[in-house]
Amino acid sequence: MNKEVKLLREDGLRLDGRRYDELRPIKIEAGVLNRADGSAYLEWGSNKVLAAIYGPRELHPRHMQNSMKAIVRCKYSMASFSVPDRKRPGPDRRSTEISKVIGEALESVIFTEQFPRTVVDVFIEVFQADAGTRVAGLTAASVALADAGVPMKALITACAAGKVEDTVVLDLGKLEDNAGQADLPMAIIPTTGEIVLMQMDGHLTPAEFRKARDMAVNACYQIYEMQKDALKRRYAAE
Amino acid sequence: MENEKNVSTRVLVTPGELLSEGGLKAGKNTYWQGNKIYASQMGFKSITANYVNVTPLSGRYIPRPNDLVVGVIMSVNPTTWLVDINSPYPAPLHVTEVPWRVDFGETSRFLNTGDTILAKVFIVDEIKRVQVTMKDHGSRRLTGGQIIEISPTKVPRVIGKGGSMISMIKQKTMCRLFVGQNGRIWIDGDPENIRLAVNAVRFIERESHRFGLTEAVEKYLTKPPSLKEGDNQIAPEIKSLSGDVNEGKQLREIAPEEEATTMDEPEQDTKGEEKAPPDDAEGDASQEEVPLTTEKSGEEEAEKSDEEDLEEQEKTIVEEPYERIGDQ
Repeated sequence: MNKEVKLLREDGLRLDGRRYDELRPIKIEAGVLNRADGSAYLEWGSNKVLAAIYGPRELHPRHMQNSMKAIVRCKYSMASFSVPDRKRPGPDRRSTEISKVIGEALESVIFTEQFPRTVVDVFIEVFQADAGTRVAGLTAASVALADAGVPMKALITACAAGKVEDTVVLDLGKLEDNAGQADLPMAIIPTTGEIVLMQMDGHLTPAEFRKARDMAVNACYQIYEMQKDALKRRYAAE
Repeated sequence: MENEKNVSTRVLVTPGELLSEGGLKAGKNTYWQGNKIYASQMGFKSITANYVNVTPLSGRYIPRPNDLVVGVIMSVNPTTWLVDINSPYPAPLHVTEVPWRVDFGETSRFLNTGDTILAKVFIVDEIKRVQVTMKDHGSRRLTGGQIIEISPTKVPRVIGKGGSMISMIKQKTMCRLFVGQNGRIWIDGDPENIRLAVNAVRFIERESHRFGLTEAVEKYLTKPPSLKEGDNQIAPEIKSLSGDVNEGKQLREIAPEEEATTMDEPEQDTKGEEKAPPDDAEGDASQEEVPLTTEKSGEEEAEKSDEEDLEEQEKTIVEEPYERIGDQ
């Protein structure tokens, strides 16, 4: 950890002027792609993410088919221009991992047994990254999934919390993520409160962990309203 | 009347939204947990005969037995054809399921890759293996004409209550139309008229959630020449067969006045909707050149698909809760 970087200002606010429990501004738009079955575009602070859903559709090769349920195939990828230093395009260790955890989170809400032998393809493309892209991607993907009309238990909402300068804060920005002490991305099913994704980077004491968890969960309910609003706006506009 | 009430208080719900806390039963596109019912898809909430349903706004076509579908032959084997029915599941059509006597290996003489057929879903088993049949009244090979694709969830709107919408389009455009439950619509007729029918269908797709749709479409079709100008201009787009959203927007720009009238008026006289169509439908059958079977299949289908049709609703609903139990 770089102790030189000052992450909290004198007045107690964060570098970008947010309070410790304040989200970055979020903008969601559903149904932005014509050829996809469902899609969503999301801006979360300076994160810019596009999610597209194709399916349920026939799965090839056939040996991958599951005769009992649909499989969910998720691909998270970052554009080469999404970060200040060019990212080498293509799958790497990090995006493979993120694809896996996002795919599994989404699978937990989809009624996969209604579509045996098929696949639901989820594509998440990050155009601009500024910390918290996995929660942004998951939030967008869940809106896109609802837009595609895939039967599901509920929407999924995701948000991260973390620790900077020994203070637990919500929704880390790029600097806070890099120079902070911990990052805790989480995703929940807002209707039941079930946790479908949780990862942690860094160290938190049990008390800090509980605080961060509660903060992230509370923020998820705010984001949930934005997701619903984005979906309803799509049809109200027509 | 009752339907109308449901329609006017229509609520848009998203997946996971609470629909009912007891008293009602879980209908289409819903699921229950404890004694609460939630939506499993995004759509409009409706209540019919003790069941809470969600009328979806999007989604793929999942075949169900006895659905009439417009299929395209994907490949030919010595004893079967593989038919693309616009669903995640390709459907084999066996030689014993066609109305012709086909010798082994002679399949391609009857139907070849790319041919279009009107077929019926014969069997769907528990792992969604689908078979289609053409041994059915009205099943046939479709020659000429053209196919457009719409969202399968909008099919009931295109058919209308008891087939009112579809027979009205047939009458006004003098086209032959088959609407498959899979969201494929086959249209044949005069090129000019086809264009009109395609526009009408796109109009329905766009405005599917509004009241007095049948009247609106009727007005849309009985258009003065000014609309025809507009049609000519957008003609190239329609040829592309793809469901291009821009079509409608262009039309709107070209004929803003007509659009305005259709938007306003139907809302005042929605009541007429229910009375008028049945007469219309009967009138058609005799006037049109369309063979009787055509009319019949269209209507049969219409009854099946119209979700506002109460009797049918009950029939289909009975099975639904059991399926849902399996989901849990």
